[in-house]
Amino acid sequence: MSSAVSFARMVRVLALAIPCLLPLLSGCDLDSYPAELTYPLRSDPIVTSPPGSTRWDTTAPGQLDMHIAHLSDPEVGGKTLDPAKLPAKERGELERALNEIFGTPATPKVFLKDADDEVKSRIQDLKLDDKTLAHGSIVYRRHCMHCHGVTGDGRGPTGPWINPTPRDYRQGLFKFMSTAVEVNNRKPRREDLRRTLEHGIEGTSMPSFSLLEEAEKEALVSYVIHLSLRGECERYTMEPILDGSGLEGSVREKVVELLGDFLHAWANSNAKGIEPGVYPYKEGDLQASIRRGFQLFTDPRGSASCINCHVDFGRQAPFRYDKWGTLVRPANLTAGVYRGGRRPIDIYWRIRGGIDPSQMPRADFGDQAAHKEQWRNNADPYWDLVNFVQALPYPQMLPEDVRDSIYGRRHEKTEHAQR
Amino acid sequence: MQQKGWGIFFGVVLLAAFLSIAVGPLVGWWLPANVSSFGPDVDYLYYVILGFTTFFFLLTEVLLVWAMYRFAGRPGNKSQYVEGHHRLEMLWTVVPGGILLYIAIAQISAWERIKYQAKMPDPDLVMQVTARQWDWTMRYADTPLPENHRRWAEIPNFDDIYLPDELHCWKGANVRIYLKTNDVLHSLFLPQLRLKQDALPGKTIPVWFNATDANTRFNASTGNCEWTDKNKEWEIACAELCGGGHYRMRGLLYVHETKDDYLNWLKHAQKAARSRQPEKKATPVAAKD
Repeated sequence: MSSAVSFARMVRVLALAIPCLLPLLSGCDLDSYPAELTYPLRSDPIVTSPPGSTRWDTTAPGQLDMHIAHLSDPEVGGKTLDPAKLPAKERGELERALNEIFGTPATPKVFLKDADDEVKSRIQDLKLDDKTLAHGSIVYRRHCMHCHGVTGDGRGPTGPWINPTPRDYRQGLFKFMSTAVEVNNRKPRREDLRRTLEHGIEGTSMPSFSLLEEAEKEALVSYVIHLSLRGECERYTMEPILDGSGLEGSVREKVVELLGDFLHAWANSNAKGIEPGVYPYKEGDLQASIRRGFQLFTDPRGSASCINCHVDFGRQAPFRYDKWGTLVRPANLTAGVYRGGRRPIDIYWRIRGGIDPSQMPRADFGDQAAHKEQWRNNADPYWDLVNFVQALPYPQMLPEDVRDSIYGRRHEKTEHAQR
Repeated sequence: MQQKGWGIFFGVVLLAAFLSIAVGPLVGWWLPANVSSFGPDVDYLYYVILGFTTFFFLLTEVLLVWAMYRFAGRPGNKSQYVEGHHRLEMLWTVVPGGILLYIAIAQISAWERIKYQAKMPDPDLVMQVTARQWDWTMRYADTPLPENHRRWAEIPNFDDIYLPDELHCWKGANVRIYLKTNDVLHSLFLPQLRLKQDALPGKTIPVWFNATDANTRFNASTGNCEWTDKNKEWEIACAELCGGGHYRMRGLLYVHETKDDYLNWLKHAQKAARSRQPEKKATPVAAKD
């Protein structure tokens, strides 16, 4: 073998190796979308009415779409609509209208050509300007998309494998809100989305994003609202076409009309929160308040009647369907895990406002005159419930009789063993 | 002559690789600042091992490249078959064995000081850290040192404060962390404190440290902790590959100047955690121009 051959081979090896290593120098671009990428039109079934019956088992990992496809089976009893059945003409029109108004992942926007001043001010109040949304879209791509998906459908690559499944924003439904109960079509306020982002959701796969920069967090909130608006317009335009009731005007007119309504709902919600008023108790009143809360919680015919769903304080609560068609269960309140936050004000908002999409009703003690029993002696039944729910996981915080009826004698034994 | 090309090529590549590492300290690519009371012990071991490995790395690579160059193939020349050399074999078994034994003995005192549970100093501040995919939840008691803290690590108190991704302590305090995980293996890594500990599902693992330098001051008027020095933003990381979001298990370490400063912060955090009123913070404006 001549030496010239081996030298030529060495050169060839190097010539091959260097181009292979070059891409490493460029890095990968996380911060942009291809300009031609558009939001894909919805293809998964729309759950118009979740089944009423309860079940004891939960969805197997990765099976969410299969599970939702079976909701409309007669023995399950739910109702769904299949977007695949959308006629080609309407499909094209809807796609064009949504792209025109909501833009693309690279250039998201909420844009109405002939918007009046009211709509414009709502867009401004909700911080849905192009610049914020474009920033939000980039941050979303980096931190959120792998679970929540490009369109916010909760079906990113990781989405199907976690339970509870990531939130699908396209229904315009959110769980943890501080929006005043008088507002129709309640949406979360910007602060609520911020809180979820900063603290994550305990007991689920949603981590905390507290260390993102201030502007990034604000931009993400705006972008989530944008995705939710787009998804909700898409859904409620598809629905009348699919169920046969038909549209009055064109597809685009319907989208514009819906956008007006939803912007109104978001802006209204954002402006009006539940005000808890002044906390009525002093430190020493806590035990009495907890006892009253216990009575309100366990009274099956009361205005709160929590125990009917949080069976055995949630330790034996059965699964039920939420409005997304997934199976969830009322919280086990003895565990000390609070998904919507553990501050007293968070729990107050849950009790006073309910968790609409998972069908947790709000406790309603109405005005003080109508419910004299609960409001007597300057007591506030909402705060009584909050105090009870907060003390519930900590047996030593409960009055003795309450503790015995919740944890029984078993509690004393375990306490003893732990010492 | 050209057969020697490989020897030259590998010589140059290895030399470049070695130089690119050797200049590290000059351009700031070296160990992060040490602010741990037991940091020197860890660093000493690190440098001892680095010294051994560097020496033998250079020795073997120089021999390798030299052999490649010196004995490059010549046309028509037949290779020699070597059956082995008993004394040489003994030498390169006994020498590394001796070095390993030395390291095993040299690390005992550092291990004892840092990891032995029975030898851990009595804490001034206790917290419980729970890892999960993908963040850290720090649980603080309403006082720096709750009564019966081993029990407190297992059974939370009504008054506890839960805070994601922020670890607060003060300079000079013996801090005890009870480490847990909610799901898979994680590893709590505080580079400046020279502390790294795996979190194992189902176990509560105590770790301790004592920070010798501070990096933060609590500002009561804004309610924020401010860095005393821009270069002292000390991070917490996860050092055990735990899934797709492993890289984003980032936290921040706040070492307050004094215990009082820490207590002021704690009081503020408590107030926020027990809030019965909506936050009155004005929401800042959208993206900057």
